[in-house]
Amino acid sequence: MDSTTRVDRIPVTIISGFLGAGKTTLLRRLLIDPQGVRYGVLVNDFGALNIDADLVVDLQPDRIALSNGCICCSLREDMAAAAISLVRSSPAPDHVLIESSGVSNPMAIAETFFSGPAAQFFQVDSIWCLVDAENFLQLDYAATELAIEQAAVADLVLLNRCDLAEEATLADITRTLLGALPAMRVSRTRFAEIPRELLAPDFDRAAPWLDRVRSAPSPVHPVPSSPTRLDQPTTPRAEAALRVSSRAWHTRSPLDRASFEAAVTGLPASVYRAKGILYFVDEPGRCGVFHLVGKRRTLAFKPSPGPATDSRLVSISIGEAALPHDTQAIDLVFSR
Amino acid sequence: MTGIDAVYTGGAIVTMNPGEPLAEAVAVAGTRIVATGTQRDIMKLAGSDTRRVDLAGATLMPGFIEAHGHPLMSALAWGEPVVDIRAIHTPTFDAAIEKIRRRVRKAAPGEVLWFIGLDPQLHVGMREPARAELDALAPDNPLVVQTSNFHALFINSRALSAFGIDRDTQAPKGGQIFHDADGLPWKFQESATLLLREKFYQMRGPVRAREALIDWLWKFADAGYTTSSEIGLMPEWTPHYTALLADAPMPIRVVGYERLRLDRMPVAQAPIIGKGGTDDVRFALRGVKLWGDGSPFVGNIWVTRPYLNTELTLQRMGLGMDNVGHMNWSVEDLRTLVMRSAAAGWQVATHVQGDRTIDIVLDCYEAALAAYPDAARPFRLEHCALIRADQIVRAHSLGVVCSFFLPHLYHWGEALRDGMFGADVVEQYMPSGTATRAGMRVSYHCDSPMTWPDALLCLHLALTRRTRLGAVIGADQRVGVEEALRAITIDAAWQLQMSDQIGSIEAGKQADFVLLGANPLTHDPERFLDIPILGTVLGGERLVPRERPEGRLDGVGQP
Repeated sequence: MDSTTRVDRIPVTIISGFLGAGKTTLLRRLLIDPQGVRYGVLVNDFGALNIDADLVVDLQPDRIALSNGCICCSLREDMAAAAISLVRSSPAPDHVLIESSGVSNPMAIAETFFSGPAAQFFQVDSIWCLVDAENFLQLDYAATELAIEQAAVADLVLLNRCDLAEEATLADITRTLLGALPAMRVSRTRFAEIPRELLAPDFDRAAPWLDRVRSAPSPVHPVPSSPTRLDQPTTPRAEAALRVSSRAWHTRSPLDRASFEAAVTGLPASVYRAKGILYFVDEPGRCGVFHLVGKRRTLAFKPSPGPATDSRLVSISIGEAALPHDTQAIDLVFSR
Repeated sequence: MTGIDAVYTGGAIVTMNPGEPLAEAVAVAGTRIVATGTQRDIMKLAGSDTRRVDLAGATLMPGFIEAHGHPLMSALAWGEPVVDIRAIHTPTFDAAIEKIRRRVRKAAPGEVLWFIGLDPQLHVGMREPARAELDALAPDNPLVVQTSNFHALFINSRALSAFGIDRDTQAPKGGQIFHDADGLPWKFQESATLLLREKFYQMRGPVRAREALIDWLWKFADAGYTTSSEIGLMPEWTPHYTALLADAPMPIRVVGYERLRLDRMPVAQAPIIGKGGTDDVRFALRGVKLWGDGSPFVGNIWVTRPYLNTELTLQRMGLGMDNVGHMNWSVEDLRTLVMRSAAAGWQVATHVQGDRTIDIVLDCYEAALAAYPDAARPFRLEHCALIRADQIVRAHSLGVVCSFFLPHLYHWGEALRDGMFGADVVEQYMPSGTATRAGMRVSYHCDSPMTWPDALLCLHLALTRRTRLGAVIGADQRVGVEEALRAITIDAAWQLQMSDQIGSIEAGKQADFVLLGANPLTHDPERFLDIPILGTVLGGERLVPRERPEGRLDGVGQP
């Protein structure tokens, strides 16, 4: 696993998808109703977002500020500079969203944040790809391959506008996508609606003790004795076709490193996010900060803040039926 | 007026001339180098109209030379509408089949569909696609699936009529056709693939071929090459080059070797075509090429020690137990071809991979060189995957040289070791170190269209023998950087019979240079793939790599 610590940098989500797949709809939805998150958004053309004038508090040629704290900028040639200019606004955004051009591979944008000047401010949280359920099968060969390449590098593929396609069409598209990459995480939606937990997980509600993951080492708060598992399915939003559920684990016994690595390596695609602080038998005196989003995961170690060895982990799964069995391997690790 | 057009100085100049390995400055007049030496001495030659080219710390070397390449064949084979299904981006057999299925879905009825890159070694879950399976994939279109090594292809039933193939079609000499249970052809190997390929290339037309050839020649130039070869040129293909030369400057020089067939004699009169007559030759036919055996990845190379019996060889490659392969030709036919070519004075280059084929080819070479001492030399062995140490000694004593296809190790090293030949055999796979230490003037090549032109990758392998996945295979075959550099400059030039013209920076030779962002003589051998290629100079003319910002070349070649 990558040992780079990615705790304090601003998360970046890249929104890709072929022309017309719903990127603008998704970004507009997030911007006008950010639900308490200050998004910084980089788009190809913010005019296309069609933001209601009532929401705009400041309008510049290449930048608008909204009354809800969000900022939106037009993309320039220099992606890193554009992103860094968002950090310089006050206050800096909580989360940055970047619209990828419909005919490009989003990895090119992600690489901007892997190294170079932007890497110290940002971490790529996730890459999403929207696929247009209504029109995907009508794309020509070259466009189909491009759409598939975009989907193949994404952490989450949103098969959008599902309300406009027959079930047989949806099944055909899904089969085609999984044919290119069986491990692809494909979820259906319409109007680019998504549960916000996917973007800005409410881990604090699921497990308040996870505060410590984000902050600097601090005294350990006593944690109430709890069952090994804390199942907390979240209520799906009425308008969203996509549902998520979260689960949490806790144990006081140090974990077996190999079993843990094997368990997270074998997690099914339905598990989209996980986050935890973990103590291992083979790392006495240190605690591991674990993050998993989509295809990427990191485990970085730091000195233990105290003598306790309480390991805690929380996960978010996607799907109509995100059954407990998708994380059974983790149950075993925590119950040893 | 001094007649000196340009002086290059301000960076390391690695000449590859043993008499003066390093120089401070080079003077160029017209297409040629006129002097090398200290900055002080060379600047004395400069006049008021001489361009002073500041290398700005870059390293100047003789342009890279590939003794064995196929720019035209690459141009004919790749590109629209051919679909690339190589394992590098489509890692499983099922994903490759799905890619074919997606293309078929978008095809017009009857449209010929061609796919390249099926890879028994690298495609997870690989099996040979049965014709019934290809028919089910593409019931209404002719479908051809070619292997990544280019030595074999599979067709569906629609392809039979589209390419004029029936149950009576005979494989040309040097090739094989395999039939399905119904008696109809299904799999083609070696020269039999040309029954379909030539027709397909013609269908795609000369305009596309021309554009693709320009594109491929630039791929070589961008990789730092100033000379490659077209080794296996059909006489019918030569007009592609002559037409190009007539109105567009070629960004590299190309040395041609005619593809030899039993049913016709080599072309008697070699076309020598230059940009400005014979002073700056951009294309020249200098030898003949024949294929002694096939590809290790297909299983049709003739070896003493059998292939391992593994899931890879038995299932994915479809070989029998204890496979030892075979030659493409009978011994008699091979001898006839070599003797005929030597009698006509041609240099002979033969594709050889298995050690038993190499024994036969060396017998033929020995007889031909004794009977026709005036034949152009050196006679060459191409690729040489499993050449034995004793064969290297014998070849060297005959004046025969090897050109090694080192990138096999990079892409397929683990499969060769674990699935095909075993660790002890692959320690000696492509044994360029043994040949170098025997005193042979070897060369390295990438053999496009199979792998893309990349001299730095050849150097990386010669210096480290490290695969893409990080294994070191055959550490004893590693050589030093000075030895490795010879194999892509002066010794490659010598194999092409061009070492009096190119291959080193010395007075009288063509001003063919490559500019590098690091000095190979002092660079970490493990990091050669990171060396920036800043551009090339061909016959005194600066070429800027495409798709690179101009800024990379600031100061170079500016008046």
